[in-house]
Amino acid sequence: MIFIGNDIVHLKHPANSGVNPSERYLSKSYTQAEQQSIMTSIKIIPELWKFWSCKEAAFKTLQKMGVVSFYEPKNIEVVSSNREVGSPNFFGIVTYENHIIYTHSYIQDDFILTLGCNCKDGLASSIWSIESCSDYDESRRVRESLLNILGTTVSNYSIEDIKKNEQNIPFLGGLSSIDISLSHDYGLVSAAYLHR
Amino acid sequence: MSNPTQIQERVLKILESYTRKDDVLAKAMPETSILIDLKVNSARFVDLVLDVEDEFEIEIKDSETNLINTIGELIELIEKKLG
Repeated sequence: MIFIGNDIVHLKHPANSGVNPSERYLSKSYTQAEQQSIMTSIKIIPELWKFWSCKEAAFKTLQKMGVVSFYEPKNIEVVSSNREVGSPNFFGIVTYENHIIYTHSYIQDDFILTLGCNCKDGLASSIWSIESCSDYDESRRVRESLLNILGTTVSNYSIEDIKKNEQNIPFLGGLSSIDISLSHDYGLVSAAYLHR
Repeated sequence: MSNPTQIQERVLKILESYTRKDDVLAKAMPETSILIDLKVNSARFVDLVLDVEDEFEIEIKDSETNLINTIGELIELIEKKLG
């Protein structure tokens, strides 16, 4: 079964832009190799969040695969994330034990959006959105955004039909042929879906 | 040294900085999930753990961090560390 997971990071929000990449902070979430890559980067903070975003997107995918239940950022390792020449797109590989998640990160000055998938082809066929909204309206707006990109596929659906299971994983009630993922961060929301 | 009530108060004080769900925090129970119920951003969870370490002068290992889901589990871990 193919699964996707997405993650968005608002780079301009003070909580993210002001993070202190101390050795102690980095050692909580990043492997030695990741720390090295982050600290030798020209842009340390965006690099830190790019790695984080890849880990989060991978975790959501792994969670759906049923191979991980707790978020263990240090055990979910970004082994590569390379820029497509002249574009804001980074394509990467994230590993957890013997599982591989492929990632596509879209990076702009103010945000990083990453989509993860356990199948390389799934990345290309996934549809995603990004919108901004009030900090306090993210939950509703991200659901509306999902319904917008799904369009007529779910014309009779409302945001109440986008449910979450006991692991907090979102799903479309009655439509198991579509995998969905939702993410929000300080007023930025992103929805993604994949027809299985 | 803190008693369990003092530990809980200090933990809730730290959580105030990380949640926007003040109503949920006000009625927090041991089984209240930090990430799901209080909607603490997972990226902020690292900062929260660092704050807890500083506040109680303890070290929380990665393997222990991964097992903290609820306020009760966090308090229990702190109590264990403080002996």
